[in-house]
Amino acid sequence: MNMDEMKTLAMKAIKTTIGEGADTAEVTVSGQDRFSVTVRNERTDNLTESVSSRISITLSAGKKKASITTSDLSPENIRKMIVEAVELSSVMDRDEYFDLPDQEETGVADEIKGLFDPETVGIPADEKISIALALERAACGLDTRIISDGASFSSGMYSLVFANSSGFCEGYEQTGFSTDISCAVEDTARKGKNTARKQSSFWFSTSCDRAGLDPIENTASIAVNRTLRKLGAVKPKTCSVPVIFDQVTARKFLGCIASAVNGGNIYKRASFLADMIGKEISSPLVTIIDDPLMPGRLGSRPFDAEGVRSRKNTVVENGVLTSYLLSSYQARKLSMKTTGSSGGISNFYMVPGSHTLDEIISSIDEGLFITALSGPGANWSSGDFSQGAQGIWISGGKLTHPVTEFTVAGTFSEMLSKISMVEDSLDWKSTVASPAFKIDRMTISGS
Amino acid sequence: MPDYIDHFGISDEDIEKVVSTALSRGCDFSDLFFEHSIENIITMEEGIVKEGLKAVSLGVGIRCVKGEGTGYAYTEELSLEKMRKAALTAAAIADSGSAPAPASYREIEHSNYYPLDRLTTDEPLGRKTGWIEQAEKAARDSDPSIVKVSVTLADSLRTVRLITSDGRSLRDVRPMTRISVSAIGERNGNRQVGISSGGGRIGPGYFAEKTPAEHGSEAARQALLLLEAIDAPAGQMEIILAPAESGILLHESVGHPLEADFIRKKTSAYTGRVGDKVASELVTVIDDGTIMHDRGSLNFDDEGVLTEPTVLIENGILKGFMQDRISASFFATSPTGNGRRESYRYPPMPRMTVTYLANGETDPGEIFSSTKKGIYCKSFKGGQVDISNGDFVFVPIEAYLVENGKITVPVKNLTLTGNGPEVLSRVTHVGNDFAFSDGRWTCGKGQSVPVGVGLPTIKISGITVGGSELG
Repeated sequence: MNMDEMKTLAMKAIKTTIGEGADTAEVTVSGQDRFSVTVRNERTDNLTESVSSRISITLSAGKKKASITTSDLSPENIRKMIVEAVELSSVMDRDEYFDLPDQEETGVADEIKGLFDPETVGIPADEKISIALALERAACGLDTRIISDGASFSSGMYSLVFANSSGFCEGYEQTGFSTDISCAVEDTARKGKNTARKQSSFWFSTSCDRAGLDPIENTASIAVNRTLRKLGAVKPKTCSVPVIFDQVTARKFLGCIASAVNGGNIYKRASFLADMIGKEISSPLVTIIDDPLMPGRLGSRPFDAEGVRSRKNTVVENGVLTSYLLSSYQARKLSMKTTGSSGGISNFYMVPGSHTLDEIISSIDEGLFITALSGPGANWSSGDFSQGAQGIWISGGKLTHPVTEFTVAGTFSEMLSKISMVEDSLDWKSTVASPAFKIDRMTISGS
Repeated sequence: MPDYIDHFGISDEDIEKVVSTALSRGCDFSDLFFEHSIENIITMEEGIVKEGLKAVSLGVGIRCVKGEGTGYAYTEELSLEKMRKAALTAAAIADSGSAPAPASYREIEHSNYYPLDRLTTDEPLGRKTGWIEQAEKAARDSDPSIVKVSVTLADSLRTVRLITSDGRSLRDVRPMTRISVSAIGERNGNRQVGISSGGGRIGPGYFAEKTPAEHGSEAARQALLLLEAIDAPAGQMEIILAPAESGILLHESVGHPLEADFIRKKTSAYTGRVGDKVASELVTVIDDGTIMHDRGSLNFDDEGVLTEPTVLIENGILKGFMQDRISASFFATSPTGNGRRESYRYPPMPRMTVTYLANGETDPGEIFSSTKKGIYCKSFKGGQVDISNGDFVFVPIEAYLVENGKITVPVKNLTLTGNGPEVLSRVTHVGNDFAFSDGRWTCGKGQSVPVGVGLPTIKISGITVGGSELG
């Protein structure tokens, strides 16, 4: 389907929905054309291609709301499902806060450059496979101990049209590329009867355009380095020390903050940041922004999931919580204004600080450089944080030996207030990005 | 099985054409996975039934396998032209010769582990909202400290037809019901969340066994309990796991590393260790997709292999792995009915169905009385494992301090970390009170699939407890 066909389908669905008795209708038509290949040990392990599309409709009748979504775009099915949605809405309760966004809020931001790479279409499958093969070869060539767990290349084209019954009907297209490599290595350092231990890690690159992907040599060497530096990891002693979150784990931490400022979690009181607007929630070194207008970023968009014009939002400014991220519904619930954030974050990041990573590491006498976090123990509702972790011990301002099988625990509020150094660079890998940062003290549970 | 309705309308003649195309470049085997799914989700929050969603998906995934390689494509338009195009894309994994497609397809008989006379999907909408309201009221009425309650009822019905290039056809209708209640308690700035959920491949009869109100009260009880909980201690200590839900520990720490793709790729900590003692002799671990009405059960897996009980560890000795067709062929063994996929959009891979630790002989009372200081874990938020070495974390929701054989005080904000093989060798007691978990778990391994777990009370002599209080 091209953009015009998608718009026609959306408008037709609006008409049918209103015709069936709904007061309001919002329709999203999305399409994707994806390719991905994984190679392992110099052979194609998996090659997947797909073209798919979907229509989603939200309607309301008497402020009672229901939604449908389907991949079956036949007119008979869409009509049948609209009728079912009208019936479903009749058993819902009236929600006084439900409405379409104000018309002065809806619209399209000025063109955001660098989101669509027209060359996507033309790359032959063989060339994509050879990129994955080259990435794997580069990684395995760096160290003979490396076991490849697969190298991948993927590309996709995504298109989206949104329309509502107040006359909004707009669309945009985006492309995306990624490469990744996973590797493992035998870890014989730990003695004992019950071990065939290995260590594993991976690295990846993403971009809206092919030219924006990192050189494969860089991706390969980071993946190999992240794997090899775990060899011989030991369990650290239980203690309380300064810790550094590297960019990978800082991104994960920041992703939790994104959930905590999400309007849905705020009005449901499922966030430790409920009722905190205007208050100091963090060290003054922390500024957090959500910016959908950034050129060439995966989370960029000219309007949000309900057609509200995109704008840059400063969420935390020098430690003070300045804004939640709100859809029009969430804004009404909280007597605030929409921030154009229906559908969630766009490009959510912490503004870089003024120290190099080396400076941050050398500021610590005994402490921990955290490189991986795992498990579901980050609870932004209660504000409690307790995660399994891996990392490298710091002694005398230097990275020394790898550590594993421990947890770091605290609360989000404490952690934010104890951020004392922020790295001066930012590496965009997904829709969330954070510089590394140092937290003055955290509890480490090990042996 | 609920009535099989043919949503696909594909003639045998067209199937033959598509399979021929899939085999045209000489792959080892191919399969077509037709799927129609209906999912209904109704959510109540802030005292109103707020959102209703119905999702319908229809498509076919076409897979061609050559050695360890998979070519895959899917289409959501079931025209002969689109299906042949997808088949040609998938076929490109192989590059020599061709094989003829079978002209006819034999229907494979199979058992039914989820017989139902009524489906939740067919229940009147007013009945569904009634259940949801009962659950919400029970939670809200529990205590004035309960400030927010949300309830979600989700049901689905997946109709599957699988065609394999060796001439087999299998049909299944897979129902699912799940209710989930979350209650937020707030007191003096302290905010805690309680959760209760359950269900399975079961119909409205589920609510006769466990009422929506029981789920509501349970979520509220948990939130209130956590408001009273103290911060967990940090360090190494004895852990007692309560029956049923604690099976998630097993799923994460041992289940994943025993999935045969990790073995075949030599990235699992259990690679090459069949016949080794990998756990305490008290430990027997089984994966079994034939448990009646369980959330993780399947009549046959997503590549047409009938499910069966698979013994993974027997009295501490590693016996075997969970195999899909590719891995089974690699190891020259039989597939075990563990080839699963999220939907027609994905190729199958080895996944767990219902994974459990078999019953033991010890009275649970004895397990407590032998514990001087430890943590008793009753329910869990979830966990994660590093396949390459078995290092895991998991996060309890409801947990207590055990002192001198007695449960003393609830604790919060803790993560347990350990190494799967090491922890399993430190199982010192296995209780005689085995139970399966209520159906609430979904496993993510790039694709989401529903799974089941089960366990009796067990004690592990040492796991690292990650709390924030240095003792």
